[in-house]
Amino acid sequence: MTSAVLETTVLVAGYVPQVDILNGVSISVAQDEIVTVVGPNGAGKSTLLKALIGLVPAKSGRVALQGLDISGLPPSAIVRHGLGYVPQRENVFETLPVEENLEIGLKPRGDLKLGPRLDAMYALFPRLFERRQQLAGNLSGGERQMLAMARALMPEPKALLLDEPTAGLAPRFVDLMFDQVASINRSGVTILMVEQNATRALAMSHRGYVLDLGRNAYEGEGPALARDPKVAELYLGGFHG
Amino acid sequence: MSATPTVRASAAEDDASAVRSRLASPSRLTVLVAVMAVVFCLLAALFGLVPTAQATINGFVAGSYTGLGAIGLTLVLGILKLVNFAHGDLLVAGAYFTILFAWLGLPLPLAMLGAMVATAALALVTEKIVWQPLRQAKAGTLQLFLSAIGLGLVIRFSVQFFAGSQVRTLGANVVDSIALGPLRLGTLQAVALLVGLAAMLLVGLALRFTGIGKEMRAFADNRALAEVSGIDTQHVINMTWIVSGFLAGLAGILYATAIGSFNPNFGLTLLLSLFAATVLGGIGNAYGALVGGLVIGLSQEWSTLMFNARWKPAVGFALLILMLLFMPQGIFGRKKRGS
Amino acid sequence: MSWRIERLGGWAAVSAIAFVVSGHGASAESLDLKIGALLEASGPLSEIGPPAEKATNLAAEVANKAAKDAGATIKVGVVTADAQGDPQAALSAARTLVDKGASCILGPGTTPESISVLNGITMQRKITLWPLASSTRLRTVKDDGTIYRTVAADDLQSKALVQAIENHVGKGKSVAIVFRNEPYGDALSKSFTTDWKATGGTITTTVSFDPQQQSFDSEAGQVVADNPDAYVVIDYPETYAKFGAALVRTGKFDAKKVFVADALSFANVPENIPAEALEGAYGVAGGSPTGTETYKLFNKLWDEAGGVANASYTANTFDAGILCFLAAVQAGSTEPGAIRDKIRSVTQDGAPQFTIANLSEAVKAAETGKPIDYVGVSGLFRFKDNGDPSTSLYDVFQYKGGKQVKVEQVNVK
Repeated sequence: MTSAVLETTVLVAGYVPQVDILNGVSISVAQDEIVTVVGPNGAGKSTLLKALIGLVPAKSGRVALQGLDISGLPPSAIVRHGLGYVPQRENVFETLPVEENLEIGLKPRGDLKLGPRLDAMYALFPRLFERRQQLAGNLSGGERQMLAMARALMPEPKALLLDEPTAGLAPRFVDLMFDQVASINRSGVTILMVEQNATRALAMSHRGYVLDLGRNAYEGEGPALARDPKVAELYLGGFHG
Repeated sequence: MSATPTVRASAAEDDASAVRSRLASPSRLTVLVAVMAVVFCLLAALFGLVPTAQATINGFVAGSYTGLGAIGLTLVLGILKLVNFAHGDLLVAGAYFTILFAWLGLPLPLAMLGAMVATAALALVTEKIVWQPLRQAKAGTLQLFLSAIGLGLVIRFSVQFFAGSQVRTLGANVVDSIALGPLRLGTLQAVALLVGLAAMLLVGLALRFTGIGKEMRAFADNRALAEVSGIDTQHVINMTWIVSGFLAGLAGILYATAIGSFNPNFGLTLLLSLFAATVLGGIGNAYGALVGGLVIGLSQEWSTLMFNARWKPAVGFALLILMLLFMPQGIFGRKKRGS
Repeated sequence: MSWRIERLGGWAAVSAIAFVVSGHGASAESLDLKIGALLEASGPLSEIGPPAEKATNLAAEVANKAAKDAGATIKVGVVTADAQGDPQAALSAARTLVDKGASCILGPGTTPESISVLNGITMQRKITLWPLASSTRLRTVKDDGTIYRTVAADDLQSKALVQAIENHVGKGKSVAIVFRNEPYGDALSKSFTTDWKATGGTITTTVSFDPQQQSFDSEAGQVVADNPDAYVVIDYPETYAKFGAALVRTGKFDAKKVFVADALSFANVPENIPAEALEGAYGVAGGSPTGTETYKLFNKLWDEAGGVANASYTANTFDAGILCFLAAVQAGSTEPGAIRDKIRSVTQDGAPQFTIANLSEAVKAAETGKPIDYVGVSGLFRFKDNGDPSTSLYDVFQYKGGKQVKVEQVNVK
């Protein structure tokens, strides 16, 4: 295994001074891995992603992207260093056409040409090409999710943070979405995702972490973690799925 | 529950609403233009073509004064979500910077250009010493609102302190007019109208096609997402203030020149009209600001055909309320879906 | 003893001073009279501020010299504040004057300001207020006898306008009226309409406008629409700068047909008003009997003092200052109420008459406490019960080359 692309060391973070959501989380994501973070509601999964991208200030501990300490940097700087982020909600610019959403995504990379990047995204998400002149606010839920991912991929990030990419999607789109995540990963993008659909997500991940109350609870290989009865009982809501 | 029909239904719904929304904003403008045309014909039939046409010209002039001033206001309101009550006083600053630079010996056109730059700089200074710290302190809407009013007072009284509150003039020729058959249009007023149109087009096109314009629209749409998309948001904020300040300076200078006579309170008396034009046009839309201004100007001037001119503002604003009842988002405004 | 000290002291001090003043007469005390000038230094009427200030200072100078010549121990000083043409600003300016010890107040220029000052401070403190405002509305306000006007009210001005138009355009002609929508314009336009129609004239249109508006082109178009024989313009310089420009832009406007009311009377047309909007225009404003020794003396003093050119109503302001001075001398006090109570006894019909030519004699006579009759530069004062003059003389003037030229005088009742 190569060195970690993304790493947190005993990360403590929270939105307000007195309340910490993350109480010392340590995770590590290696090059070309898909890593999924699962856990009950309120475990701090989304907050972990926000702390990584710089939206939630780190109070102590270290956040490193390819060995570079990025804690304390503003989100725009972190994005420029090669980390992409797809929020769960409100993840497209609704009043902008699809193509302009993608164009905005390329802003942190002045060195890349727009045309080839658009072509690459339309190849990955053909549906977006059909809808490229439409306002993003008029897209369906699945299309929005595709657009949000494509926007985050525009600047050729080394790693991508996905916050519940299948939330609220119809089952047909859930399969499609997981396929797409896998194919993005195959194209050389390291992925860290948070998922409600934990069993499915872990099954397709190289490794997984279980968070509880803002701390590491379990970790292991993805499929193994998904099969672990203890994890399943405590955090995956039983065996069905 | 079977999943597939749900997907179909929602996709179909999406398509339908996409079509609806694509039709919605042009149709509002079309309807408005049609209504205005009908009103014009009615007025022409009742009061004669020449008086109606003259009132229409006057309406365009009055509208361009407010419309031009409202473009800068609508940008700050739409992009930064800030109700900038100090905007009228930025117009005043523009007019008085011109006086200052002319007094320092610059020829008038250069003084005007310098004043626009100085007003843009002033707007940026307000960002740095007032708005940025307030944002970092997570000030609420009411605090921002009060700060804007306070800032306006500070600018206005600073102007009064240094320049006095007496009536001033930029000394332009305000009596020349262009004869269009039986109709008359003041030369400087024509200039104001043309500059208003040009500024609207320029800002509109810049927002549509330039990189910073797109960033501004993205920022206006979803600030947090703009940030995590890698946009340098502070740069967008700074640029918004610079553009808004520059436009305020331009509007203030043009107003002061074309009106011919002003004192440091003119921004305050204009402010209500500026906001009216902004809201009617659709917040954040440069075309909307000017069109909103023109609609208000036309309503007011047309009303003088029917009522004593002293009721002009009342009639104008009554019509504004009526129009907002039919299109609460304004002429070019869009309703945000979903969120 | 100044009234200021009285204010600062306790009740005992007040009674002691009252005893001294009333018991031992004025001559024993050195009086320090402060005349307050509530000036229109800025705002819509800022043109009248500087001449009014100079007139007040001139009155203080003349009074001081007369007092010195008469051997009286009264000194007159002037305190000033800016009313800004705004009722609230005028009130706070008036408070400043009172804090500076003003015993009477000359000004302000408009009726809303006058009413605000009257109700806010001067009536309660019995301070005589001498407004330059000419609205008839000031006649009917409750003022406890504190308002005196050396300028006539607008029902008289309306008659002067009628005469001026008859003299220069003719009887029974058509007139368009335009006025700034404020009490002054509203009342004067109504009086004029009545008076003009009574002489057989017609009114083509009456256009009023909101002063806060930016453009007046539609209004201007209506004024010139029926090509009337004359225009009556009741406006302030601030708005006429814009309205006048709009009138010229119509292309159908002839400034020689204009008759302006007194708020647009100035020695020189201000630079912000386009020359074409007033060149050749006529106007009326309260006048003074010309040809009198007093009038010549006043003009001589004005010119010697340097500064701003003479303008309408300067003599009226000057006379108000002198009346306040003489009343204080006669009362032997600078207490505002005592001055108020003596105004009529320094303008009493049948009493010995004095002018500024023999003002030191007037001081000596007033010191005895007997009534006198001060004949002002602006004429004789016969105050009615409401404090208004009963007759008035008006100047009819014309603007030629941007300067005001007096054409004739009309006497109206």
